[in-house]
Amino acid sequence: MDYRVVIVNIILIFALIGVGYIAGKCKLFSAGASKEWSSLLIKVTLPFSIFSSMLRDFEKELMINAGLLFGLGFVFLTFEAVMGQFLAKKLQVGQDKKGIWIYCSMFTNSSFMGFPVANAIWGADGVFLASILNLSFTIMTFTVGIRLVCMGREEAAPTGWKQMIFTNINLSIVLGLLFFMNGWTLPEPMTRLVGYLGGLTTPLSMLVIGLNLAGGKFRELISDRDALTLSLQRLIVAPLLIYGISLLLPLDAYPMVRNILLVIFAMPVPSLCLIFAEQYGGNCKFAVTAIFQTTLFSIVTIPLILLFL
Amino acid sequence: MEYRVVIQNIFVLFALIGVGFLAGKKRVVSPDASKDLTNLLMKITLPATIFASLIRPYDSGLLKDSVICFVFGIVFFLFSMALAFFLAKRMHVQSGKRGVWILAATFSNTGFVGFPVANAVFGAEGLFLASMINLAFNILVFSVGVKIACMDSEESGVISLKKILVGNVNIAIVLGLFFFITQISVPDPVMTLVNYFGGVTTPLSMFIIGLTMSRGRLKDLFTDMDAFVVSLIRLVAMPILAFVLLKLLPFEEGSMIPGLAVLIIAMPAPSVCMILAEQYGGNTDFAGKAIFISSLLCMITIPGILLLV
Repeated sequence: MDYRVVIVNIILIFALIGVGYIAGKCKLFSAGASKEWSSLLIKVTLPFSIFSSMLRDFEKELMINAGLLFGLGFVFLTFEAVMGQFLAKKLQVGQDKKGIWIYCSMFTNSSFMGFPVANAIWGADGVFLASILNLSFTIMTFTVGIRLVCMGREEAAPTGWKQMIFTNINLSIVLGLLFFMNGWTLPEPMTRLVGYLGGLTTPLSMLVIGLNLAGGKFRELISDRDALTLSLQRLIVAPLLIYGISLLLPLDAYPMVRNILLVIFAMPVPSLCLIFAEQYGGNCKFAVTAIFQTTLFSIVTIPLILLFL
Repeated sequence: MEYRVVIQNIFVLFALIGVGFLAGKKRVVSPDASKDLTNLLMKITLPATIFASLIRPYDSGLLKDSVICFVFGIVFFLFSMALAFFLAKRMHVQSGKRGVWILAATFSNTGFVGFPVANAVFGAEGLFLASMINLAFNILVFSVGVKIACMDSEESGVISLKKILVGNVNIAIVLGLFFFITQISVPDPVMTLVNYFGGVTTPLSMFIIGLTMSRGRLKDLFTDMDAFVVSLIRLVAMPILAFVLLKLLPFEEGSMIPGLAVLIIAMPAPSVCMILAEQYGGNTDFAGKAIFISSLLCMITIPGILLLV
C-alpha cells in the first residue's frame, strides 16, 4: 500500500480534530454539545455508515476476512487481558486504577476513531471489517470489560448486558450482513439516504474528539505516570505485538485481516470506559486521564504504526 | 428538467427531516441540541459547502448570473415586504404578531433549506447562485428585518453592520469568488478537508429541521389560523408571483435562473424569524408556529412548484 496516500488521508481526518479543538477553545458550541453529538453518532450516524458499508455485492473473500477477524478479536482480547494483568502487576499500578488500566490496555476506540481511520484508508471495505472486529469487542466488553471497571470496588457486577447487545450499531451489523449475504439492494433514494447519514460520521466524530481534547486541563492530564505507561502499552506495544503474532499465523492469503488488526488495536482508549466508570462506580478521574492522553498521543502514534502496513 | 430525479431528491431530503424528527422524539439527541448543530452548520459546514461550490473553472456567464441573482433577491424581497405590509393590514393581523407575520411572509429559508434543495436539483452551480440570493437575504434581514421584528415590541433595534457583512458564510463567498476569479488552484488535500465538512451540510440541515419540529407538542402548533395563512402566502402566493415576474424578463433559453429563483422563493419561513424575535422581543411563539407549519406544508407545495418551473 502506498504509504503517502494513507498518511495524507490520515492527516486530513486529524485536521478535522484540529478544527474541533479550535472550535472548543473558541467556545463555539455549548458545554453539552460533545455529549449530545456522541449520542447522535452512536445511535444514528455510525449505524448508518456501517450499514452503508455492507450494501454491496457479495464477495466470498470479504466474508472469510470478516469471519477470521471476528474469531481473532476474541483471541487477541484474551491475550491482551492476560498481558494487561501481568503488566499492571509488574508496573505496580495503583489498586484503585488497576481495573481501568487493564480494561484500557485491552479495548480500543474502534468506533469513533477506528471507523473513520479505516474508512480513510480502505473505504467501505475498511468500515465493514472494522465493524466485525468491533462485534467481538462488544461481546468481550460486556462480559469481561465491565467487571474490570468495577474491580477493587464493592459494587456487584452490573447487569446491563441487554443494553449492550441490542444497540443500533449491532442491529445495523446484523441487518447489513443480511443484505450483504443475500445480495439484497435498496431502492436508489434509500441508498442515498443511508449514505448521507453515514457520511456524517467522520467529520462529526473527529469534531467530538477535538472538542473533548479542548476541554481537558493539559498539564494535569499529561503527568499521570500510570496513564503514561498505559499509553505506551495501548498505542505501541499492544498493536505491534498483535501484528507480530498475526504475521506468525497462516494469514498470508488474507492481508486485510492483519491490517485491520494492526489499525484497530492501535486506537486510543474508548470513551465507553468513562461511561462505564460513571455508571458502575469505577475510577472516573483515571478514565478521563487515560482517554485524554491516549487520544492525544495517538495523533502521532497512529501514523507511525501505519508504516507497518 | 428531469422531474423524477427532482422528486427523488426532495424525497431524500424529507426522509432526512423524518430521521431528525424521530431522533428528537426518541431523545437520541435533546431537541435543545439543535442550537449547537445550527452553529456547526452556519459557522463551519455551510461556509465550506459554499466555498467548495466556487472552486470550478472560470466562467464569465456564471459571474453575470450571480449578479442577476443577487439583484433579483434584493428587488423581490423588498417587493414581497411591501406586499406583506399591505396584506397584514388588510387581514387585520393582531399587532402583537404582525412583525413576525410580515417577516415570515417576506423571507424564505434561502440557506438552510434552500441550499440543499438547490444543490440537489441544480448541482454545484445552482448552489452557488442560491448563495447569491442568500447574500441579498442576509443584507435585508439584518437591516430592514430587524426593524420589522421590533414592530411587536418597544425595542428600537440597533442595526449591526458587522452582523450583516462579517459572517462565515459571507467570508466563504468572498474567498470563493477570489479563487474563482483568479483561478488559483487550491491544493487537493485542502479541498478534501473542505469537502469533508461541505458534504455534511445537506443531511445536517435537514436533520436539524426535523429535530426542531420534534420540540413542540403537535396539537398546539396547528391551532393558529394566522400561521396557516402566512404559510400559504409564503409557499404558494410568493413563488407564483416570482414565477410570473421572471416570465416577463428575457432570460436565455436553458438558463437555470428562473427555475432556481422560484424554487428558492418557495422555501418555508426561515429560522431567522425566530432568532430576530428572540433578540428583539418579538412574538417567538408565533415565529415557531409559522416556521413549523410552513416547513410542514412545503413538503406538499414544493413538489407542486417544481411542476411549474
